[in-house]
Amino acid sequence: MSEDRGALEAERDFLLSSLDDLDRELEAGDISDEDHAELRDGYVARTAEVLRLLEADRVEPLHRIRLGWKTVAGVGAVVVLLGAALAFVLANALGERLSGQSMTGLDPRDTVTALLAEARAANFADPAGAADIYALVLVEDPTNIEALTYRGWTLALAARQNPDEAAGADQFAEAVDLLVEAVTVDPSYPDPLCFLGIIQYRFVGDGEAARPFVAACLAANPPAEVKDLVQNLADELGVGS
Amino acid sequence: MSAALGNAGLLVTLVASSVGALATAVAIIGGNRRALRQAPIYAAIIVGGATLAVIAMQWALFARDYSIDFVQRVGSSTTPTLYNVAAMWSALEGSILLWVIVLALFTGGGALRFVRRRDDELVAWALVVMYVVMTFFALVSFGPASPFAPGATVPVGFDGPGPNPLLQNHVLVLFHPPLLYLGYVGFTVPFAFAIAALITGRVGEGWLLETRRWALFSWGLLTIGILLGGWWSYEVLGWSGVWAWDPVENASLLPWLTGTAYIHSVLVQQRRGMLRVWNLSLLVATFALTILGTFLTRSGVINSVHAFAAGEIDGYLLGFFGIVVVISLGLIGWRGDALRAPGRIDSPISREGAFLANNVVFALFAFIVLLGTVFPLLVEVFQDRQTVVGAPYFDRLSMPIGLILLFLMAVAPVLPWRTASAGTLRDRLFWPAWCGVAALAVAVAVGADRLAPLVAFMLGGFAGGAAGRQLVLATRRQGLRGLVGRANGGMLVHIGVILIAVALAASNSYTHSATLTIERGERVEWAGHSFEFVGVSTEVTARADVVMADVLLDDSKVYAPAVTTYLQQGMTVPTPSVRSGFTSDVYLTIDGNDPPAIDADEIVLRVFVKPMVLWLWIGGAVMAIGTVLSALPSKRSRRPTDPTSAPMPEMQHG
Repeated sequence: MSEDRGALEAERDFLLSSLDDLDRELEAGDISDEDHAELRDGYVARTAEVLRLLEADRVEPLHRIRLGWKTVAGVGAVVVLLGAALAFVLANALGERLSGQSMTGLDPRDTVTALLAEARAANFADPAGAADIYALVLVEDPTNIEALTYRGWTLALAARQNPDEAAGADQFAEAVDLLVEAVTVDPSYPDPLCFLGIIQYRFVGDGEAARPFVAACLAANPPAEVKDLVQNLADELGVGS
Repeated sequence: MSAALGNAGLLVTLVASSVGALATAVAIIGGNRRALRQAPIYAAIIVGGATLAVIAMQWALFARDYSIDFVQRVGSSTTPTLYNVAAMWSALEGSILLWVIVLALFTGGGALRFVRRRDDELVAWALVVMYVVMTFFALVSFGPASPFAPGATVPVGFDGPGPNPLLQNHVLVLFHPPLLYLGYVGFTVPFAFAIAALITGRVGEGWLLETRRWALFSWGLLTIGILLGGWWSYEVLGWSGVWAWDPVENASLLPWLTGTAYIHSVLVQQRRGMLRVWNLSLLVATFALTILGTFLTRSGVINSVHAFAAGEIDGYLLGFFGIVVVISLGLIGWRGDALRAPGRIDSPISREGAFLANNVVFALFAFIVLLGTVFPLLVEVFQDRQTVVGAPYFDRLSMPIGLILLFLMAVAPVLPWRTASAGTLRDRLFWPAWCGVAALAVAVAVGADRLAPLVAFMLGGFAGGAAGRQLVLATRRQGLRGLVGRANGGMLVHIGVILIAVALAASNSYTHSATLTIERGERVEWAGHSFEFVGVSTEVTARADVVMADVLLDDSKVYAPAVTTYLQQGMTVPTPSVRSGFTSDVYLTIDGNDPPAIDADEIVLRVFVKPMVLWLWIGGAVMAIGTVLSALPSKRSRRPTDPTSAPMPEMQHG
């Protein structure tokens, strides 16, 4: 027996059993009288078609799908419009992903992520405030590379603005310690290297001490905004020329 | 000893499944009936091997067998027995082992269910597919994700850290992952029959009947698993929400969406013989998405594609996903002619038209979630830039889709097959429409505002009315038996979904939250509730220190949000305390991760008042009951599969 004939026989059995099911479902109240009549007509017609094919012992496709140009154009237009709408919403919801952050959703459980976002917003406008927020991140995650680096950097900036010289010196020492720790945690992360270079040259005035940090910073391909900070300094020190 | 037994169990599983697949395929092709009749025996061996491996792992965790690397990482003498059991699925290797045992049980169940028809070609090929899938997971578990790999030598007195603290502070951890896996893996059975139908050319409706209950059962378990995940998130994580569009959550939602589309469109194929290619594609998509979901959640890819190198099974899962998709699509293309439908949709205003619309919307929803989930990966691969797709993308797009689905849920059950007259629609939609108006009026009367939730409440009432109408008609004819059967059980599932949709709309739209600083003995009033900070109490065990802030709520009962410090991990986890009610929950959690001092003069609390959250869980229970009822035959008991598929004829002895 051919494979197609086997399939037709299975189809015939299915249709016959479905006719039984249909009567049972009517009795059980699953379907209405109208539905029962409509479906029964359909099953009977399909069963007759299958029986006819079986008797003729031949198999032919029952229907061919023909798509007119209007259908194709209509579906195409819907797909294009939908794609444009999706792209628009997607573009509006897209943001920068940080180390350790998952790739979708705004995970409210991730307090570190929320704190980092808050700290970044305050980075330049309020260095002391940002430093405090980074400290909270470090309570949650003591080796968070971004928090170590940017608490160090914002503390160094805050130290220069601190009117209390002794307190400023303490802040400065803590800033350097944090940046050094950040380099220890991840030597390939360029930002603390860059900031140590800037601190050594601009804040301490020690060009020789700054030179290896600046060279390592540029070699590690820092982000554009950090590179801008360090590029003039590199030119002055003759690093990378 | 445990490692040796476990490895032996996995090896037996691997050998039995691979030999079973090969031997059964050869027997079918060669027409060797005697060999074919032995095919189910491999399933029994697979169940035995996988069970042995799981028992060995549980014993290793129970006995703290630190010669095993996995136990070193998730075992601890301080972990309570309950969570020690759950420790098996708290890390990659154990969760793959859970997959192995669940798949083994489904394979064994499938072989047992069809044992009398084991020489039927359709059943035999389905067994081959299940054995192939089993071989893959057994290979992964025996090889790169081995839970029995030996650990480094540990000093005398070593004790492991135990599972992640988040996985040992709520009993739902015991049920959520296994139920989710039962749902994922259960779709292997209908997938296997779909592939078998394509291979044998018996692509009519016979294989659908074989697998209807398997698909429904798996869908129901996946639904419950997802809901329990939301419940766990609500009860444990302290942010008061149930869904965050996290990639792990999305990975479970994707097969649920395609599976939901399938269990609807399969009715159209069964009734009208249409949507054959579509149904096969949905099953393939559902199964493939479970593999993709496992890849997304069990590799480092969620944090960064740069973590590819760190994962050990990523390549295996991606490769298997690719093979499944390519082979399935190839088979569908090969059988293209035979898959042409014998009927066509006469009118879009018909039951089948509504089902088709429902399927398009579900497929669109799945595409949107998939796009948002994998888009950051695509950006990183092509642009080397790390991006995140924020929740607003998912929220904005899922809201209109949810409303459309509610509308279809209201209209589809009352539509007749083939076509509907205006008079029929008017008659059948009259009471459901009034239910919608009543729901809107009640919502406005209790103070609801804003367009989207009001539309959700109205459509919820409309859809609830349609489902209620069907149940009333059925119970008038049959009494309580009218709740049983595919259509009527399905209406109960609809009512559960409507409850969940309305509860989500209410809780997302009308939640109030505040941070309250309350001094000891002080009574603060906010949002119609009073909060009095009574004091701090502690509970110290060998495993964890729990510090609780006792808060008298509404002068009636003390609630105790806590911060638990897990001593082995040195990790603090805030645990909320919730007063649940039929109208709203009051959700209390200590602000921040630091436990309050025992003599603290004040406490900082995050407080959420969330309406209708309890109805989420009630809706879930109604869905579960409805799923069970829809799987039961509506009147007389019969085996619907018996006459649908002919046994393999004219086989020759090899």
